[in-house]
Amino acid sequence: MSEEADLVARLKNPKSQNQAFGELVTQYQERLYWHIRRIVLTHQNADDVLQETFIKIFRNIDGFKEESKLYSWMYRIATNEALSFLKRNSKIQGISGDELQNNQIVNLKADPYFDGDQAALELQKALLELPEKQRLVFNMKYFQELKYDEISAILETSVGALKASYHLAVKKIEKYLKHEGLET
Amino acid sequence: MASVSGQDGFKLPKGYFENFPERIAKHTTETNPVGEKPMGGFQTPDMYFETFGERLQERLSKKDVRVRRLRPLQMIWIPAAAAAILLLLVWSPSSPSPALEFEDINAEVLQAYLQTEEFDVTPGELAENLPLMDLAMEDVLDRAPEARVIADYLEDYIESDQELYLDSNE
Repeated sequence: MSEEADLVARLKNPKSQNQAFGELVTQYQERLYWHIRRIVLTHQNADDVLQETFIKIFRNIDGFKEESKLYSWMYRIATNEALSFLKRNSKIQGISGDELQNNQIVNLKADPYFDGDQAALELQKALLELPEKQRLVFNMKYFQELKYDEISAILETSVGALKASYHLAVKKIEKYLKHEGLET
Repeated sequence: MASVSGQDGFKLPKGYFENFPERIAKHTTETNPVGEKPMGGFQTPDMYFETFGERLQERLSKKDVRVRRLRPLQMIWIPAAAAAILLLLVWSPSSPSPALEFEDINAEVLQAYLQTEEFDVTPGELAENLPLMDLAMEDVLDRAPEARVIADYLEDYIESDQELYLDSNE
């Protein structure tokens, strides 16, 4: 039995699930945190979404059929939770997608756990200009250095389409930064 | 040729590999997490990851996170008891409890509910599941994507056709 299969089996067993869940959290919390943080940007929001993600994982582990890798399944939950969080927030505040982007930048500037310079901020602005899928692919490929195969399993998109998305995202970011007077 | 086996005079501190994961984890948490490019300004509070598990467990123990399956016997007598109570309430002449009218519901509560609830229904599902007379054109049009989304899609689609033939290979 592989290490992952063993962990899943222990997670599904009521007698061992608490200890196994602790191990799972320790093993994946950082990777999932940074994946979520790149989507929601502020630490407070990332913390909320990360907790919700692990609660969803804990609640739904019985439904995990092991047809995909555990980390792909967890990344998918984290991605859905982060995107739903943003959509729910814009709905509650009654604001459009563009206004949400502006709010995200304003909130990021005010985040005590962000001390990026102007270039870092401009990069985030450029990323927010991208369509959702391109932004996800860019973050996963560039910042998290996931392989196309891994991203493909998480986003359930073909490797060819991912390469195209990443290529377009890079071109658009370059164009945006040049337009803003920043070299890439 | 240099060897890493330790047979040519190279030594390691005692227990070096035993606590290596903890040391590397501490280091990467503070400066640059595993698999991450330089942070670009993003930080976390001190000890955030070290205490995350505990906070999560606290939250999980507060929440009723497991949906328990009812036993077969309970599945019969609970609905039966509920039905009996309901019948008693309806037929009892001494308990003229006022029925809850739609107007009685607090408008703010209703508004908050409508704003925060997710309705994951596509126009196609709406059209399939609602009788035609119940479906106004606005129900479908309201859910049409914004012009910007359409423009993004078209732009991607047109460019993708050309880009797909380029193999950027990682």
